[in-house]
Amino acid sequence: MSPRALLLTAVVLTVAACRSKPAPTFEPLKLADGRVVPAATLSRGHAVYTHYCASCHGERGDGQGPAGRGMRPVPRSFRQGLFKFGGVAAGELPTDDALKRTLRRGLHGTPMFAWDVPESDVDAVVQYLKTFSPRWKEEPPGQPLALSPDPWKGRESEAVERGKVVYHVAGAGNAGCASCHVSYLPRAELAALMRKALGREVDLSKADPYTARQRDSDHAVEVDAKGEPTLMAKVLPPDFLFHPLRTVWPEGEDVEGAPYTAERQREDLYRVIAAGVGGAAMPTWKGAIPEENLWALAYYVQSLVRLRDTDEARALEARLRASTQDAE
Amino acid sequence: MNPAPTATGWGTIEGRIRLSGTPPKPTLQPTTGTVVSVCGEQAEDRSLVVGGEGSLAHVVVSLKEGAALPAPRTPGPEPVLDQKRCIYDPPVMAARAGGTLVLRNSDPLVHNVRAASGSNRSFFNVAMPLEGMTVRRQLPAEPGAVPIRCDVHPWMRSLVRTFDHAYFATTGADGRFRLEVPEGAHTVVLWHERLPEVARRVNVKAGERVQVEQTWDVAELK
Repeated sequence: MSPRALLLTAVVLTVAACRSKPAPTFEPLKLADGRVVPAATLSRGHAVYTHYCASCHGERGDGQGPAGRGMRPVPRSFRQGLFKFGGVAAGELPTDDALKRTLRRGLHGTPMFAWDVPESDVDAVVQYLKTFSPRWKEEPPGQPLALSPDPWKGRESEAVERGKVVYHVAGAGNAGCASCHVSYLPRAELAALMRKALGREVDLSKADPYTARQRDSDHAVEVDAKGEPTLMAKVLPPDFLFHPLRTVWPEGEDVEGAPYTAERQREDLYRVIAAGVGGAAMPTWKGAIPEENLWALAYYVQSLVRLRDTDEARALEARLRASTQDAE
Repeated sequence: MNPAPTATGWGTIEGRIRLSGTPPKPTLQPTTGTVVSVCGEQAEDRSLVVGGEGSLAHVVVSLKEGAALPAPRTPGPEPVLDQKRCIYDPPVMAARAGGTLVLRNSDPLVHNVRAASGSNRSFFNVAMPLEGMTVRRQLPAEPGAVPIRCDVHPWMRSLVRTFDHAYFATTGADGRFRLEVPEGAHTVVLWHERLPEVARRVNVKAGERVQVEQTWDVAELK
């Protein structure tokens, strides 16, 4: 080291020491997938994390930072090693690509903004957050769930019609999303679809298919002194006519430096439906229904997302709530 | 580490597990409107299933030091968890940690099966929208308890106790169990989610049957 570099190091160290706590030192992190993260990367990641992330996600990575108190949804606790949008089957460790995507894009409708972390620091902070959970040393990330080719290209209205059935009916290749998410068909139409699928009468006169119930999640709202979860968040399955979706933006917005097209929006819908939502009720759908039905769901949900927060959406909701089982 | 010993002789541990006193009536939870035609209006809590003469079903019987023993002569059946009329069958099961769990949906409606590793970490969460469909999923490698639930029908709960060996059984509706073990001294552990765990020391000789009886009292119920 040259005398000049030594002096510079001394100055940097003094400044760092004056600020608050001394920067921690790191050992290289051996990940279960065989990669080793060098100590210098973790050290850089720590600095980036302290600057951008710690105020909400907490110095300890437990999601309990001072600015995150009372935030809903709660800032993710990295100590659980559990992520909602991982690009892998729900519950598995996410890919680096998925973590970086979240960091670059943010999560729509939450205080997790698209932080302008310099590209060279994105990898460092992603590696650093792996120091918070022992999971990364024990298991490799899941297999990334690839986008299959869209089989409905150029046949959008057909896809929406198919998606409507896949969404509302369970069985015979359909998903039955309306078992947790709200239904978007009037009672008579819904009963007719279900009758056709189940082969028997369904009485919806007393049921309320238009109100979703909160479901349990494995994401901590409160933790004890050791950072162990003591209270879990409840999650409301989104109503696509009114709730912003975390990984889906309105068409035409700028997302990661490029206009968000209808096609990109469908791909993002496909991703989250295929993978499920880690730690929440939404299961992995890839493999459970045919690919063409997965894509049809992306088209159908997109048709609802396009109505979000419009007068048309409010009119549709009122019409649904007033609907009766007997066909008009 | 010593090489796994080979068993020379085999014996059997068997017995009957009971609950004394009048068991509390199982609680009933209302189901949701759209599933009534398939699952009925109420779902019964099956965390305590007591039959005639106090026979206690779904008690997990295991050998404490099973991992140090040679593998069983006859491998146990593949664990199958069925979803039938919006209830898990069986409500409690035993399986190998890291082994395969078979999930079956016998209902004409959609279930999801969310398994956790430990108390609060989703391990897998699969969608099962088809009547008659079966999927296989690997259980967590770490032995312990794997709670399973359905988010579509939140009253559905099940638990898989997992072990790092294959010396386990669960009691049937008659409260009986049977376990073939290598000859020698063993500690038999009896576990029920709502009762205090009990351990019994037994000595098994080749070709012999050793009886293990256990009666819990309703006052011990959690």
